Amino acid sequence: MEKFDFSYPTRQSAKGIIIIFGIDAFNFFKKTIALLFLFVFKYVKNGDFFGLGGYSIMLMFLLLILALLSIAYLKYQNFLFHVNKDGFHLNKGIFKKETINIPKSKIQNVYIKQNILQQLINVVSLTIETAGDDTSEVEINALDKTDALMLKNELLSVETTAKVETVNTTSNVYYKVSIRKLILEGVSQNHIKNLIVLIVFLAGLYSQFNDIINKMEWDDVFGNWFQMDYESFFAFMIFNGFILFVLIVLAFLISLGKSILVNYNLKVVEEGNTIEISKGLLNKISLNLIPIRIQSLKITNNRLKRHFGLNTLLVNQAMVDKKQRQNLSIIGLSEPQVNYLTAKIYPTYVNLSEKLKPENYYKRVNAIRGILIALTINLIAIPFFGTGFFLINLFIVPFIYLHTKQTYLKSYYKIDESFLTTGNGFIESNTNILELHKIQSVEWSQSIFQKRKKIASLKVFTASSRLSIPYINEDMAKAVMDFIIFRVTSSQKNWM
Amino acid sequence: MYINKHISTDEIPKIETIEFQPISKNYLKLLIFNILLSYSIAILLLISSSFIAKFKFESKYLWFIFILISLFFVLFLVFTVYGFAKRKYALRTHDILYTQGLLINKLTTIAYVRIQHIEVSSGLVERKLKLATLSIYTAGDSGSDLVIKGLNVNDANKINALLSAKINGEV
Repeated sequence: MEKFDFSYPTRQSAKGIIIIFGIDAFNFFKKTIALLFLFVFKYVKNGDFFGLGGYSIMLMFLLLILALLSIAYLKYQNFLFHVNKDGFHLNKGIFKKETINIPKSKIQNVYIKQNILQQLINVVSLTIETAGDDTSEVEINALDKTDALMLKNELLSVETTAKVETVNTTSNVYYKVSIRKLILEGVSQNHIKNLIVLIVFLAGLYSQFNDIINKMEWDDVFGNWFQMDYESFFAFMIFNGFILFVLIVLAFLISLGKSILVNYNLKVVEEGNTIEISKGLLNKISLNLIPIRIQSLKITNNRLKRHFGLNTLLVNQAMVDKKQRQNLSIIGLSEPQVNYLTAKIYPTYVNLSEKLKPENYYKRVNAIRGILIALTINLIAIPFFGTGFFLINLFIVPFIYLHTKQTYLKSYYKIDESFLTTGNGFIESNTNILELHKIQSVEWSQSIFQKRKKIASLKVFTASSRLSIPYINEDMAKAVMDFIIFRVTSSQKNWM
Repeated sequence: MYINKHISTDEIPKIETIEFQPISKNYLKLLIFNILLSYSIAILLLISSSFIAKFKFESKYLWFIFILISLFFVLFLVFTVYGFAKRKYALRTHDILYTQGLLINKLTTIAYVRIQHIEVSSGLVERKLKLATLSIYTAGDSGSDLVIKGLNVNDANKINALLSAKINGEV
């Protein structure tokens, strides 16, 4: 097969037409789904649609497909890219011509992804991410895998010498997630979040189809079911309880399934001093972590997960949007593996043994906050649900106690010449690590209550995350702030 | 000391020794003007709603709401006037600092080497009072930006020029 030469304007693989068509068709049907539903419904009911018979509709459908196909073809024809020593250049657009130039130094990351359609016809997509907003992102829909890898190497090598280096380094699979860990991770997730998402999604779906459902005159069919009297009220409550149960099971299955789909075949590959992560079943993704672009690390676990060796390492790179941030996590790591990867990313990192704790004031603040929330709940709910609702305090009070105790226990910070480490969490334990010279700005804050107790809080911001050091001694906070500013201003290193 | 064994802590510049500059006094006028404006709008709304919607307010309720709103705005005014003195900024060799807040006092600092871009803006009333807002953006998310409101236009432009020069490495 002919190899791509990226130095002169090139089109993507001709299979790209299919991918572009697929994406366009998917988006088209997604936007018009409510309309199509109405269309089908009307057709089934009346046998025609505004006087159009079956054949005319078929013809219209064919014309639509043809139109989408020709748009895809034109998009493919007008999509030309090339790489030279200045960077990546792209010309695209059928009517509105666009020229995009991305200097190599501004390229944040290059992702290789594969959705189902791309897996079927054996191509990959390549996304170039820059430090700007979303619009400055470029995606090439269809490339052969070898070409995509070549292009990726080409784009990520700033100097020609570096390029040779990247090609020559041997890659070594450091970590591969096992099926057991994949399932354990899926089971031990936060299912409540998914339950809420599911409910919101169903509510949204309901409101979208509300009109259509009303038109169907289902009332005549089901109307009798919802005649509410005292006898059927009990049945109605059981019905609701059943629906809730189904939703909970569904939420559990969704989060389990999602976790397995996203993290399937997770691999961590070492290549020279970069780390490559690849994972995913339906959407395969592969991306490089380049130490210099990493802003901070977060290690998450809880007591249960520690027992099973399920640490999650989350890598924050500059300007990575929320959707992709999820892809930067490595799940199911044992503690030595976490330490190894941390050392790989931060070679000079030393985990200090001495933990600096927040003041006891932190406990008091949490307790007072909890009590205030509990009081509000009680004041609002008891007039509505009667004094029996008071029993809920049997859960609330121990919760406040545990929350106050645990958040204080898990909160600490460590600072040395080049690193800031903080810990926090309630059920989960989070460890955050960042290099001092990556800090963008520091905020010191103190309320009038804290002023009397000589207590202050600090917040530090990097390009993609923020860390807080809550409720420490005022003088200490000032000293830490002074020190961070000193390190930032005296360091010759840039943040990226 | 916990920090660094190789650098004596005296070498690190201390925040406590900084002399902060106040912002323009005209900005207090603007703040008070804004509060009075919102107060009059609130009162107008209260009166018109009681007329238009034909709420048969008992006069004591109307008075109660009126007193509540007035109290709120008086408190707001007091905090604004007392808090005004807390709005201060400072420029050092390597960084810019801004502090504000009476109930919760905040001090934000950004090193010049981390500044992405600077913006000087002023609205209609601000221009009348010769005021400007200086916004300093970093690569971090919105919380990390530093916004100084109520600077004298000349000061804002001077700082803008100085910072631009610093960023480009001219100073």
